[in-house]
Amino acid sequence: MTEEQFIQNMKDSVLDTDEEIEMETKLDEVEEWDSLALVSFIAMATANGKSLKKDTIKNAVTIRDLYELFEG
Amino acid sequence: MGEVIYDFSGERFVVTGASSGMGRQIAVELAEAGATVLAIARRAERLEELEKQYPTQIIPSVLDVCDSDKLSACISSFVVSHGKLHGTVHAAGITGNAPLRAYDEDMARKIMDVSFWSGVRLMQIINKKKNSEDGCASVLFSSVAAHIGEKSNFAYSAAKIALQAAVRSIAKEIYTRKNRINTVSPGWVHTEMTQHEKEQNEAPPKFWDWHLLGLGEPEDVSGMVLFLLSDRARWITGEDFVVDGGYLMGGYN
Repeated sequence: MTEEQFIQNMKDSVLDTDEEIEMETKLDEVEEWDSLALVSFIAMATANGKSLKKDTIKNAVTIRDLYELFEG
Repeated sequence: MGEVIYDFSGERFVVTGASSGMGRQIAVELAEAGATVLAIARRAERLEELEKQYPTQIIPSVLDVCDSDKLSACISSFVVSHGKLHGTVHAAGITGNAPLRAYDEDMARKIMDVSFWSGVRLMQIINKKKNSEDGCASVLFSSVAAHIGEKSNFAYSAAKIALQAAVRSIAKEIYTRKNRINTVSPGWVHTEMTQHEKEQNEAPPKFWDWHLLGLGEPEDVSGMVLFLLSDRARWITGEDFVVDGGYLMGGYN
């Protein structure tokens, strides 16, 4: 998945936000990054064949960190 | 007797199964209450009739609700041209005779697809911030069949109780924008769908008598739906509302 596609999916399916999101955006500055967004991210990764754990994701600081987990 | 009159002027709704029965009744009442309605159904000629009656308020869209991509595209297009949604009603549904010993699995799965899976997909689309105003209200049609299973009806009953279970979970995800979701469970209402069911299935004789107030008409149920869509129901979510003429009490007419 390209970075552009990932950002779009994050906006549409994980965060449900109209706000601008970039790869370097910090997660603690994104109001919509909450527990439901976290499990939505896990679900998106699972659909992509990637099994991720909550504790691993909680260490992520930026959108790029999530992308690297997603693609890793 | 008093009368309740709703005012949905300037508001926008999606109604599935809008060409007949409950869906049509609700689309009509919303239009008469001033709303703009994206009316979704498979039968083009029926939707055209509806549009002719309310040319500025009924926006017809001919599609199969099970086609997720078309459903999503249709709603996105409506939102772009008319504005974000205030609510939705999922009235699309089919019945089918399904005795355990000889049921048609394709038909049983289709019943689940139309009532349940397309309803869930509709909720996903509608509750996205880009598609709806805060406080968006959704009503999905369950049934008394979800509460009491009659013979040869397990597929329909299962689909309808699945909706209630899903609603209780979804309500806990969408509340942050004050969005709400509920189901309505009608008893036997005179519609084309129930007529078809009557012709194919064998209800116990007492079934009819258990409707203490007699069999229903679509307008006997639509009032509850409009109430749940309205701001008067702003503190109500994750619930099922039975409107059945007394059927579930199991008394005798």
